[in-house]
Amino acid sequence: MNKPQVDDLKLVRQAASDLDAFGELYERHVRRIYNYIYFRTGNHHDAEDLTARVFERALRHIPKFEDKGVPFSAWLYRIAHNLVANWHRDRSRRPVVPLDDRFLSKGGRNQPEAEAVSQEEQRLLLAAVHLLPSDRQQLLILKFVQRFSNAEIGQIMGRTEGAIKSLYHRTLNSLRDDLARILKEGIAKEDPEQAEKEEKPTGKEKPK
Amino acid sequence: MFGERIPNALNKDQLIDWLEQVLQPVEPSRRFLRRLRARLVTYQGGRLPSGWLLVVAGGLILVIAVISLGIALRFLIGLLSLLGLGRETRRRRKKDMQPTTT
Repeated sequence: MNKPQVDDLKLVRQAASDLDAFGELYERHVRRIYNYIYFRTGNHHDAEDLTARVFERALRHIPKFEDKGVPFSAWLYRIAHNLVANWHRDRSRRPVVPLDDRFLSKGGRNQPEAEAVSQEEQRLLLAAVHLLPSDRQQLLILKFVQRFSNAEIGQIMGRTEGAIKSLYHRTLNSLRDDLARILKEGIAKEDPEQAEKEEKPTGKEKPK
Repeated sequence: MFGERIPNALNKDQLIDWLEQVLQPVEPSRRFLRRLRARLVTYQGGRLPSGWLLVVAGGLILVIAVISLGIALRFLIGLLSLLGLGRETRRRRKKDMQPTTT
């Protein structure tokens, strides 16, 4: 993220008067912003709408962009984060996020082993991710979808690397708890007898 | 259904593996990317027009207003002269038809 940052800042200065420079910035960041919004909203329609709004807002405010040592991408993520927050507030439907089947069915294209993960399991995990507070969702998306390091995530989220590391571990723990709860509720609904067995182990299980 | 991922047995590494498998980047539609780029690069609405642009636009509006007024006045004068001509012709005919006393 450091090397392109230099170029980004140069382009940002040009973009105030040169739309082609803005076009270049757009090409560099649009996919990542789209992915961020897609995983926060859960559908392509809203992801397209909000991505367009992020770049329109960026274009309007780019002459006011000040270099404070934070990369341009962090600025874009902040715009995206605010718009997604407004989107959730407007709709008041944060926990229920319908994920496009298009994504769920082709999730394993790049990694064949991912095909083994059933659609239902993907839905379950994504539902649990969407139950997390907004900053934790942001962290998981930046880490797993965008593959950013803790330091880069820290720049985007305005926190130190150590704070991100600690938030990451707390997020994993709380996600594990949420998954356990969701699964328990799911099993209880589908098969109450099985749920009871899960809750009270018989002691007959083979040791690992 | 979730035999391999029983909650109690799910450790951190398994959860990380699972997240890596599920949270895969998606590709936005090319049509959307192309259209949005076109809209942004030709986008003008959000920016305030420059001072020169305002002067040119104001001047253009003034010229168009003066030209329109000129045309309207010419049209009005033409209409009035036609009316006057008609009235004059009728007056002459009336005068010609009257018997003359010598």
